Amino acid sequence: MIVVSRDAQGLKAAMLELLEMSLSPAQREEDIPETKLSPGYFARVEYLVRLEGMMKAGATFELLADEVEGLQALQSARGEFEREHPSCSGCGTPQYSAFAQRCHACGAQFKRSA
Amino acid sequence: MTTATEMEPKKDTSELSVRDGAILPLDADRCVSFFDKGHPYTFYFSRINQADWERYFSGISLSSHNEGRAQVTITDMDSAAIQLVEEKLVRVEGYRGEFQKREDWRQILPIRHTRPAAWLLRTVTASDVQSESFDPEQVEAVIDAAWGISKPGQMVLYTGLVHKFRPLTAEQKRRYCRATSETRVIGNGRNGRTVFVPKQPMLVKLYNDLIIGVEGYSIGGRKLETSEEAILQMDAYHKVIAVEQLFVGNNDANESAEEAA
Repeated sequence: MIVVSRDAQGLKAAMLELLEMSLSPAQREEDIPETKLSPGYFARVEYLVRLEGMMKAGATFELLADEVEGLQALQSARGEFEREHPSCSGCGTPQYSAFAQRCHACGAQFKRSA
Repeated sequence: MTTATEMEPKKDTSELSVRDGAILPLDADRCVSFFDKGHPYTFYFSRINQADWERYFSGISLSSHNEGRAQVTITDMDSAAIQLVEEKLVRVEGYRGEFQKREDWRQILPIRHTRPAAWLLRTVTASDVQSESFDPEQVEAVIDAAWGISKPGQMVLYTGLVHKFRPLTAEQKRRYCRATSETRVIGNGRNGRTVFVPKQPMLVKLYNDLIIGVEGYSIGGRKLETSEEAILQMDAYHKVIAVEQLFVGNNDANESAEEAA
């Protein structure tokens, strides 16, 4: 049995899945990729995102250890996603690949250092 | 303020009738009544206390798993409710024969009777009745509940039962959200079945923390009004349905993880 709130690796994987899905939202049901994670992971990620939002709005809480680790897992997932899908400096849209030559949203050309 | 509503009788179910301005007596005989094939049956229970409801809550099963791209959620509230019926039942009316003399008579009642009895014990819902004015320093939750019978096959529906709460703090909101996100995954590694931990015990505690007063209830012939009386005497199922109203409408602007990223 897995206690989802204490499975930081699983929570990171769930957050990464959601970020990847947001990159290209599926237009048809058959395009939605199958998930490798049980629904409980996404329920917990949803809670952690809500907790983040409350804290950003100024609420202060005494966090439990699993909440801190869960928030760290979300940050780690975002960092990994940003490395693999850097944002366009013009419009901020995450790119499909770190090697993209041009932004797929605004068309801005990316300059690569030699 | 409680009011009454006439409802169309449905085949093989209970009729519901409500009396204008009725007060729900929490210490009245607990009974339910319904029709089966046009014949009325009535079930009488001993008082259902908080421990009985907590045992029911802990027996609720809610789980979710993936089947391909689909997410399948399975809820079973009936099994625990039927167990509650069998534990608290003292006598029944409407049947023939002497079966109530048997020690196991409760277990031989048909499911098509114990299930509607279990459902009628839990007929408590958010109400359409709203107060005409409001106090900005408190939050009201208004519920309707079936309780007691007016005649065989016909239950009484009390509407407009008011529960008044202090506003939620951020910490209480967080407790609720954390409780609803608490899960276990069993079988098949991380892609197993998610089992949700019942949130009702937490909701009962929250009710006791937040309640200021109630309207529409009585006990011992006296109106129940204060928070202390509500904490001690209020039916735990009513507590759960009432306090849950504080969270209705709070999820309409749910931020998805991708929006938050």
